[in-house]
Amino acid sequence: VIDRHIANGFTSCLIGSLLAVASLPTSADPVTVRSILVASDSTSTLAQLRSSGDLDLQRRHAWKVLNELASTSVGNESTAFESWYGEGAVFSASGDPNTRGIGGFARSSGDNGVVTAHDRFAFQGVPVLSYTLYNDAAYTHIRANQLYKVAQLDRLRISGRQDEEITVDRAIPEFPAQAVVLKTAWWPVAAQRVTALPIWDPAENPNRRAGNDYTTWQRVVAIDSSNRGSKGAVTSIDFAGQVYRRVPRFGVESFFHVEVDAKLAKQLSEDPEARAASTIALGRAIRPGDILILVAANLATKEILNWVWVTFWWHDHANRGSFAAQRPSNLRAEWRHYLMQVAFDSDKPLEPDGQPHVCFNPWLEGRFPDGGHGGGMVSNCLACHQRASYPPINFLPVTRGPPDRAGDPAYAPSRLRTGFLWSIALHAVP
Amino acid sequence: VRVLGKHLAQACAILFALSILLCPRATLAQYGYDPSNADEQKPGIRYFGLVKDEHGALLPDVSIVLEYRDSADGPYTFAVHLFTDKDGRFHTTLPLDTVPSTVATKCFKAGYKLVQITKRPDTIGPRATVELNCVLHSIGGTPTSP
Repeated sequence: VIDRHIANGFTSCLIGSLLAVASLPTSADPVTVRSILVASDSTSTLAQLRSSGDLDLQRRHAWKVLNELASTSVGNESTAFESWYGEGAVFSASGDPNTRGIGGFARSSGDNGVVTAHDRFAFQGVPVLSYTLYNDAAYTHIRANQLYKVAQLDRLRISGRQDEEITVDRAIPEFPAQAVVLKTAWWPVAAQRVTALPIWDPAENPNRRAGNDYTTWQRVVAIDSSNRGSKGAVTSIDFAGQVYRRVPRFGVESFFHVEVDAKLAKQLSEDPEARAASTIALGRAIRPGDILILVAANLATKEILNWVWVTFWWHDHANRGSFAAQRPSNLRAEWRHYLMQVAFDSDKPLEPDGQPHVCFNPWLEGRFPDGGHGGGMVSNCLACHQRASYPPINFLPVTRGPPDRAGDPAYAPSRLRTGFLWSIALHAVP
Repeated sequence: VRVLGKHLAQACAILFALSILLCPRATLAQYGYDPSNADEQKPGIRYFGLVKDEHGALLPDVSIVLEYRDSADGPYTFAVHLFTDKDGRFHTTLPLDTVPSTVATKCFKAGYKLVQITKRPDTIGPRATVELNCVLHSIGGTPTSP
């Protein structure tokens, strides 16, 4: 029973489902792609940051990366990741590589056997409208090495290079240092109605054994799609069966956001998880004219061997607390509403209680139940992703700290390490 | 006496038929039950029910949350999130060792408030069931700024 529940949780965690793409981008590709993040810190500096566990410096680097992600260029008001490849383009035998960003949302409900497709009306845990984007380097690496194919993974499992860390396993070819993967999480806002947005406050949301999904959070704010929701205005609003009085109102300009057109509305309404998430937020399916606001994201950059893991989420008091520390002042206005955590390592720097470093996103991992070592609120991006391997294996329950090579089946001999990306193990296609 | 007995038997038959027709547990208890679906045949406790609004109309797209432990003293706790279908009904199956009285339930939809929630466990018979019905009243929504 536990295995089934854990397996069912797969689709709501990590990277990737599928649609289609037949070819790699060519010089004739009409879509402008700005996909390489320019981080000014050298690999050796970052490796040193990892070994030292200097969280202040790690956070400064993470903000730099986020700043780069959020930046626009002269004559192009789009942020870089709006042109990145979506799950559908990456993990598919054929498809349209020109559908980019959240606007090109596309994925099928299929998985490669381990993950049970969601029943349209039932989910283990609370659904989140998430979508993973791959920059040019990540996309090209996966497609050129055919890492989106089960048959190729089966071949590499036998004849791939020996993994440098887990020497009893093989490994996929190393991703280039420019590779970036971004898992985005969105909240639908109704076109004609103010929509409640749950807010995670660490002090008000102690760990729950069933997980701290957003329907359990203690506070909400009101989001006004008219973009005239002046900050500070208050209103009453209901969410998840409760009525909240005198909550602050924000316009969508306080978020990175996109307007939903007819094509995107159709794609989202056909996706079980997106449909479920919008039903919770709006009480209905998403329609053209609604707005998607970016509420959270997990960002992985291959700047070091084990990737740098940055996670950020929106908050109405984003200038307070340790998650706001070291934020640069030159971030674009809407991006200054996001809080951030970073992980260079699964263990360091240790938490004040001596336990391994915690780095999680309240939207994406906060909902994970306590499987014996703590729930999502004590998880760490790298502690989970270092287990990524093929054939697919359950990524839950949450584990902490360095790999348990003796007891964890994810480190069993003759497996294929998938470069810290679960999406390759989970969403490769036949 | 024979005629009276005959009429009495007919009345009993009619009453029995009516009880079958009117008893929701006997007729609609297995909302959406599809015996050809292999999942339906798995052992477990079947949760089913419906949600109505203040006018008695069945409400689609209502969230139903069931939070339970894998066993009475087990370490794991799970939350299942379901939605009512277009007919305002839902059903799912929880593991046999869950204890209905310890299963926490929620029922909500944006723009509505919960007025009533009823939970009726039935552990008699080969398949245990729990009927869960909700009534929600519309509270409208807050319009966007003019």
